Amino acid sequence: MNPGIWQRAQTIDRRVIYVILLLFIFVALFDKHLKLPIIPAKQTIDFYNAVQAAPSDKLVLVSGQWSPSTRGENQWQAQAIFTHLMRRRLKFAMIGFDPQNDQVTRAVVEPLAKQYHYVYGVDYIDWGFRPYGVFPQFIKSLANDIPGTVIKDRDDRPIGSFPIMRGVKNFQDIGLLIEITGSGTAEFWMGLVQGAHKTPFALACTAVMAPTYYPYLDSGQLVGMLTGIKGAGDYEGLLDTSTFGTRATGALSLVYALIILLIALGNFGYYMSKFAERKKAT
Amino acid sequence: MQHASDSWPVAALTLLICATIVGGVLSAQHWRLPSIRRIAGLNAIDEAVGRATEMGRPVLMVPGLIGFDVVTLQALAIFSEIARSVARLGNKIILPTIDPVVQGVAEETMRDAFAEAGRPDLLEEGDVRYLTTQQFAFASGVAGILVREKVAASFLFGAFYAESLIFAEVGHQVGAVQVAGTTETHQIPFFIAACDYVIIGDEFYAAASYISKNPTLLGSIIGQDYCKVILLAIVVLGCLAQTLLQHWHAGLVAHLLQHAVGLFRAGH
Amino acid sequence: MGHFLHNFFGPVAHRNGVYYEKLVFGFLLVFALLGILQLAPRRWRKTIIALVTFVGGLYYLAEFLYPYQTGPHKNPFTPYLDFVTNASAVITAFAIGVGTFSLLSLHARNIVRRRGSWGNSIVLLASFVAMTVFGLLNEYAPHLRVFHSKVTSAQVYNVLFMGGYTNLTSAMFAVIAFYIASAAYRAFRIRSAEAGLLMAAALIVMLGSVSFGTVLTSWISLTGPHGVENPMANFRIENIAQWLMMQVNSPAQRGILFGLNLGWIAVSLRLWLSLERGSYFDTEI
Repeated sequence: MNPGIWQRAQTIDRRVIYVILLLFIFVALFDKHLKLPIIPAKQTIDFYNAVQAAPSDKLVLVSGQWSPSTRGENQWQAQAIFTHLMRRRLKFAMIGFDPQNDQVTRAVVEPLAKQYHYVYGVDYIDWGFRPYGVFPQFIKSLANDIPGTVIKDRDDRPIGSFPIMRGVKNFQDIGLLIEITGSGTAEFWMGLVQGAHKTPFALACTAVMAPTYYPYLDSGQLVGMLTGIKGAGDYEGLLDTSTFGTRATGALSLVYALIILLIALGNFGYYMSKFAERKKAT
Repeated sequence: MQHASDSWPVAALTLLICATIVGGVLSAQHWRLPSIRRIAGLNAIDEAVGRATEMGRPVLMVPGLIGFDVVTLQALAIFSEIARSVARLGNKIILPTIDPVVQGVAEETMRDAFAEAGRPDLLEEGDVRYLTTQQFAFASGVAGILVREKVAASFLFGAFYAESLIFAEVGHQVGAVQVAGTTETHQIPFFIAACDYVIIGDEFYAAASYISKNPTLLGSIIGQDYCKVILLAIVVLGCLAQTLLQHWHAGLVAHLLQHAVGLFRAGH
Repeated sequence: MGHFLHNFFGPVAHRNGVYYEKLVFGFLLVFALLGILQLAPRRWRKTIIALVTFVGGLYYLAEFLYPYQTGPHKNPFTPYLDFVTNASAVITAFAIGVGTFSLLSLHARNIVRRRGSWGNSIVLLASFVAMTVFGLLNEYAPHLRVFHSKVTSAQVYNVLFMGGYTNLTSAMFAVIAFYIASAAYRAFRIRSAEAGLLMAAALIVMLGSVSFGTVLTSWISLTGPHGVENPMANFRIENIAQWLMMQVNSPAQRGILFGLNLGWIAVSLRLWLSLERGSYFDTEI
């Protein structure tokens, strides 16, 4: 047995790996015939049920902590979430804590608002951007006094002048809190706001962050969670729609298969080269 | 919880934790300096600094992406000690920051460290530099520094997010020895995959204490350890109470157990 | 008095004369305070900083400890939360100028002295100027024609921001996918029993997260005869993955979170009470 072959199996040039990975992604995204079954995860079903159960006489607050860098996951989650909210005719408010969040969220919401005939100020409102540096202070203040803390909408108009904000005083008037995030901010909502007011809190985060939030799912502090692009694809399946999120879930499957194959190849090469060396020594 | 009145047991526990930590700090400052075990990942720091000096290539230190915060200050405390070693060996550092306030603080810290080591001339203008506030622009800036300056040792301490793998993988590609430590648990797997040594979780806080032998930091670690014992006791007692409740459903004992289980219930 | 302060420091509905008067007053007040601090004797400066830090943090502690409502009396600190929040945001904004100045001066020096990679510094400064100019034009004069052409400033901003910057940041995030593939291939070797266990768990979680993985065990029925829940369904790969995440991953995450958050409390306390000693904290100001 030639130990060199097993050594080569462990040291494939990374550029070759990148090209193969790129091919897999292209095939999955652009091949319309590739349709893999979607079995939604439990936390996604819980998220869907939380939106289904949201009271129609209260506001839904959607907080955005994502920016163009994580739009590959968060944008499709946002698309699915806002689609569901508008289908259920739930009134919602949006707020962003990233400077670019307002722009990217509006790029998702405005076409959907046109499609579902949602009127700004009546069915939905954008509270604009607040700097992340004062995020804990802001949400603590928000929980007690929404009009006094938010004051104006994204275009500098007093929020009290909009019909949607009539009767909204504090977090008792929020029926569901949703955070779409690419960073670890959910603990602030849970500690400072959600716990005191018992507002159901659902989280849509990047896949990398999801393992950190399973303890909160277990304790009931989170009522549901969308994990990365798979969460977006699952959610689209539950909504019976199919956009990029669904196609990307298929791409994810193929990429995972490739990574498992590469790890298996590396380990196989490792053990076979050790075996060959031992045999050579004896 | 918004106010202490939402859950007095949680508020009392918070005050107890604060008192324990402050007590640990004051005790170490005025009474007895405690000692803590050496964190395994710290052995790698001296190795990495020595290797970089032999190769005549600079040392990169990245204090995380969270801006001016407690984690960043802790990272700067570690970097201060590393900078002293680097200065003693006559090498250079590069410290890019994502926040202008951190840049100011880091610059002062590095200047002090180099001066204490007797080599203030080695720290040049631009060695501590503010790149940008944007996450991935910062990541590409650091990747560029790693490649252009051919960094031989890279220290990644602080709060990192998705860009952590970019730092670690590019560092590996240029052949740098990498030591990482972060409080963001979801980035630890990426560092473990791509770095040579990783300091996990609250070892990060212990690392700063161990390196500096600072009474405040050491006392704080001791206080935190006592707090962990308190929390562990609460968890164990809570589990016992919950288990016993399966057998006692009525009576004074059941009422007390019910009360005990509800003391620190999540969402209060 | 409280009413006067609230009206004076409160937000102004429209950008009228009162708004600009308050803006000028704010600037003058800040520079006056900074001037007074500079005049203070050196030995007092650390004490002043420690006092200001303590009072700043004390507000939040007092607001937390004081009950929300005791009888007819509400928490007297809570109504000022939004004022303190806005003040914090303004103070944070002071630092933006520092970073910008530092960045521009560093790269300008690189260009003047023709240091290594000074070409990159030219690109940086040109990009900075372009984004600043077109960002401001997009906000205040979006229909302005650029150099008398048909192109408006809003269109240029859109190309620079949505077309350039947004896609570049997304591309950097996407690069991570390639890096994880090469890092996983290079680093994940089963060299011990623990590593084998880790690999098996990782394999189950990965397979349970994706379609082709769940298909492997989709033949196990969710319900048994008469529509009763099938206990064998627990062996479906997505359910095993869920069990691993909830029952194995969660306790480990909780343990790490306990430690990390205690560390967070400890450092916050040390900063608030100015207990820090050494290095930056002992420097003469």
